[in-house]
Amino acid sequence: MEKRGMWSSRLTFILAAIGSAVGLGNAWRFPGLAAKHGGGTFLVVYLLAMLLMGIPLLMMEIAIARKFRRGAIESMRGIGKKWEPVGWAATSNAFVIVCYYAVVFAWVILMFINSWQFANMTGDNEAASGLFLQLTQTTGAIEGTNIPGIVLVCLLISWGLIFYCIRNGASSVGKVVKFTVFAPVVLLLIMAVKGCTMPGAMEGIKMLFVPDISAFSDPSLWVDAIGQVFYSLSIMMAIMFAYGSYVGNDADIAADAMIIAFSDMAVSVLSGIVMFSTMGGTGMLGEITASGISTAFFVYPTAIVNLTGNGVVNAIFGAIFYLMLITLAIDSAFSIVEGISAAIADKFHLKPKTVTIAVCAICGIISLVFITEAGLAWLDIVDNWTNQINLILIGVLECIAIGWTFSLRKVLGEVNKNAKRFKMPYWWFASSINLSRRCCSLVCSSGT
Amino acid sequence: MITLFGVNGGNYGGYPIWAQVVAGWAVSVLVFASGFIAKIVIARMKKKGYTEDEIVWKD
Repeated sequence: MEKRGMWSSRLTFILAAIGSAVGLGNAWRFPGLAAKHGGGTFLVVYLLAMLLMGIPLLMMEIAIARKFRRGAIESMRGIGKKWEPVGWAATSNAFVIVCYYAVVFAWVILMFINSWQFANMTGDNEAASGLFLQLTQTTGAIEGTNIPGIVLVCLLISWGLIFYCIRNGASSVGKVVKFTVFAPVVLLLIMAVKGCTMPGAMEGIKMLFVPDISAFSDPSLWVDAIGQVFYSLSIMMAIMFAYGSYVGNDADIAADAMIIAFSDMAVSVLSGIVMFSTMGGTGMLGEITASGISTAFFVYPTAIVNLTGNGVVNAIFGAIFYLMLITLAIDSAFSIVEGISAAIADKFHLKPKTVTIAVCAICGIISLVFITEAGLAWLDIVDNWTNQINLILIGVLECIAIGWTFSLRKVLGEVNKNAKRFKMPYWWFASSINLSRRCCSLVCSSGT
Repeated sequence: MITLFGVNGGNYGGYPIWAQVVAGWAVSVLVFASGFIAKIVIARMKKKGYTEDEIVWKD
């Protein structure tokens, strides 16, 4: 077996993990879900889910993978032979997710290339919201098998970029994330300044931060928040097992996981500020939908053409928005492939690069389904299942495996092994296990 | 869960039931069955000489 790649420094690991965690889910899914569940209400539940489930589970995955120096499948086998299928489920689910995530990445590239068209659409809401459909020729219904050439080219570019970033595993990822982690934050800040200085922006900000007490009793709010935490932190997707397996023995997992989780949350809130202030400023606050894709490709373009009376300025902000999405999407996309590759390569003693090529090729072929005219509809169905139901079920199974049949104290010992300023307390670490039982009943009762 | 299994014939999200079965139910079943399918494949591979690593939590 090849010598295992390791992160070149602590900063590289933190940046790579933040890059993986911070993705399209932060930029559009989070604001969409916040809008669906009354803004501030979702924010409070999301914070609770992050603290009580997200952070402990993130620490668990990193600590177990570092201890075993293996990807998801072998790490779960290390917990107990009967739990290996949970590692496979996490890897398979990631495999499905990356097939359509690469397509969304391709759509974002397509919109970025065509953002100059916003210059001629000032105030024309219909043209702006129809641009995506016109470019992709997607119908939103289960009909049509044609693949537009330009979308195919963008898909090839997206898979090419994904492979380029992870061609040498941890070492090439370490180089890429130094750019892809900071660039979207700078672009988001530019967008936030523009959004917050628009008249009417405060109405949007108020909606994002003020909770509606009556909405807390809705079970779907809790399921959406937990699903968003898992999706956003890249846990239950084999990614953090892969990244954790490259972490040095001297790493302070407790502190690093806190930095990763709070950075992820900060970007989500910043994205929320951008979305709600811009929508408030353009008088389109009610237009934000729970569907991130709808918000990014139909609603936000309409806001872009109403930002100013100058078409060129609008086009520049459109380009900034889609460039920001490109930089957010790329590190999340390649981290999913890295998670799958590491898990398979470790299991079958294969060369990671060979597995990466195979995964990119197979997923690339499957992803063609999502760029057909019916692609958006297929993507919507698959996304609903893999991101909400599957992710939460895998989370619950992982909690049962680690907390109920393995020793939680052993894992906590690994988490706190090099802890200096902050030690993870047992009650907090165990909270995710206790809450996983609640999750089962929530998923069952919400019927999402 | 009631919605998942029966109400509206599983036709939620505005898509036909066959599409939900193909892209939703079948994909999820495959995801959770993948480990068991892999076990069968690995058992056959073991007969041809494949060996699994011993993975132990060393305190």
